[in-house]
Amino acid sequence: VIIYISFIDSDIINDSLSANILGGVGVLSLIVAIMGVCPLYSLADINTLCQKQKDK
Amino acid sequence: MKLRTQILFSILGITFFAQAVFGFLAYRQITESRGDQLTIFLQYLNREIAERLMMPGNVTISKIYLEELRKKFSTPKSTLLVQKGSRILYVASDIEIDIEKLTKHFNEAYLDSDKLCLIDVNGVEYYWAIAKLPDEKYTLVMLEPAANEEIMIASALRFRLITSGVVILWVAVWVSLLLSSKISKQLDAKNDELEHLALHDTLTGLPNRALLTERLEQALLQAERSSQPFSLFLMDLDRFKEVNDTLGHQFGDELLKMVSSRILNCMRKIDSIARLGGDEFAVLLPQTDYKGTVYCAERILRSMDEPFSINNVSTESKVSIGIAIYPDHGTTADALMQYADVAMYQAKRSQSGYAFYDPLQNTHTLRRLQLMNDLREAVEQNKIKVYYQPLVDNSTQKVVCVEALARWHHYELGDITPDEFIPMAEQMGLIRLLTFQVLTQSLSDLSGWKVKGHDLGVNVNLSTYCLQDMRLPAEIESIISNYSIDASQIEFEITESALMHDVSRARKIIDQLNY
Repeated sequence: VIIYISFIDSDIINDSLSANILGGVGVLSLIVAIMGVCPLYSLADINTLCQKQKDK
Repeated sequence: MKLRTQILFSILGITFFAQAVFGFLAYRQITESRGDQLTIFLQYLNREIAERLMMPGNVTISKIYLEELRKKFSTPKSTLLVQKGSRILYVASDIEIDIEKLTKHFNEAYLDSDKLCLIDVNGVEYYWAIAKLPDEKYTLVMLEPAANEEIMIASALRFRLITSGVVILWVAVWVSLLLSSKISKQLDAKNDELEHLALHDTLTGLPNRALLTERLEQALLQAERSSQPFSLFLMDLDRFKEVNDTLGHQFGDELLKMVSSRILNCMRKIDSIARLGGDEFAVLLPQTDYKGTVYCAERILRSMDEPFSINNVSTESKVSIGIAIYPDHGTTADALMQYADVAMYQAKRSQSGYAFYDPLQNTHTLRRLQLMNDLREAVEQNKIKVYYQPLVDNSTQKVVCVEALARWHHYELGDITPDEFIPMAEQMGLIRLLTFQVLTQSLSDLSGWKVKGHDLGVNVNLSTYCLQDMRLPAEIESIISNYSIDASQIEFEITESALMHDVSRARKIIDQLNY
């Protein structure tokens, strides 16, 4: 959604700087989602796996 | 709510609040900058109109007059209107404005805040400013459409505010996650450490009395539900105090660690072992009947058969185990602890290694507990008296030597035999002090007799526990030097009441004493 409103539909945010910054956040999130690994998660010691997967 | 979640929500809350304040102030700054100029202009206009109204032969307020003023003082796109209360009386404007809607919007905005300087009427934004005329009945309002450039700037700023808000929020979420995680981890670690310290013995790492009591309560509840017996052992090391005093506390600590390790090796996973303090340990054996209890006690005793080697010093250490079984002996934690304690003294006295609680022995044990309690005071306050048994030379019929004998008269129980209190003193680690007291008293008396012309020798009993103390020869020498006694007049008799811990060490001390 963030990438769409930032880079694709320019009518929603008609300020390029704002669109680029928001788009950057969106792209980062997308990369993390595709990789399935977030370095910040390990730094923060967050694990969103369910208990069974953790046990494995 | 967990601490981590609390920290997370606190930081997010602060971020939201800061964002809201920042956004509100920034937006107000944009909208008010133009409004402030208009207000200043209107104040000037207001003064002008007031002056004109106060002139002699003044003109009454009318639409034509208002139009004149507008053209003279304002911009062509501006609208000037006069209100009386919430009703608009006159409007001077070059552009078409829906007065009804404007009145409604303006009154709403006016009611909301007298400083709100931007209103939206049918998609067109107007800055407005207000001034009261001197007679207070009329209100002069100036409206000016927001210029396109200003709208664009406001729009861009709005988007940037939103964008910066989202980014700050995104960063804040991560910062709060990292911070909360770090803080809660540190606190959890500290809490765990404190909890461990509160419930475990620092020397051996075993559970302490508090944790044992907790587990004992749990075992009681479980045993009540399952109707299964369980056993409680209380045990202490025989003559540990003596080892501690003669070989040093560090040696004693190492011995305790090794003993706890050996006991642990005899336990099942479901069993609990605790150090209650000093050389006293407790073992809780859930779901264990009489047979299993005996097996476990014998296993512990067997594990102590092998001597302990610490810093190249070998010593033997035995334990005495007192056993109380639920529900045969007691059904409460306190009762079981007390009965196991009684059984432990029974085991110690009988030197059987372990003993089950026997109600008949309870009275005897109480006497022993009282004696042990009073013996410390008696030794520390030098209440043990020294009596002498003369040794007579048959050929001369003269006393040549005396044997020093320690006697204790208990204030309540009368005379206590050495057979009873000497082993106690050995177990309690008082034997060293007692030996020195007897020796000092004997030498003092010997010195006195010598002055009176009786040149005698004295025999003093020396416990084998004293022979583990390397400082003994020096201290005896120090005592002898205080009296004009020849060392050859003193003989030490080594009692055989106990096993010798380290024979080679004892040998060295005996050699030094001979020298």
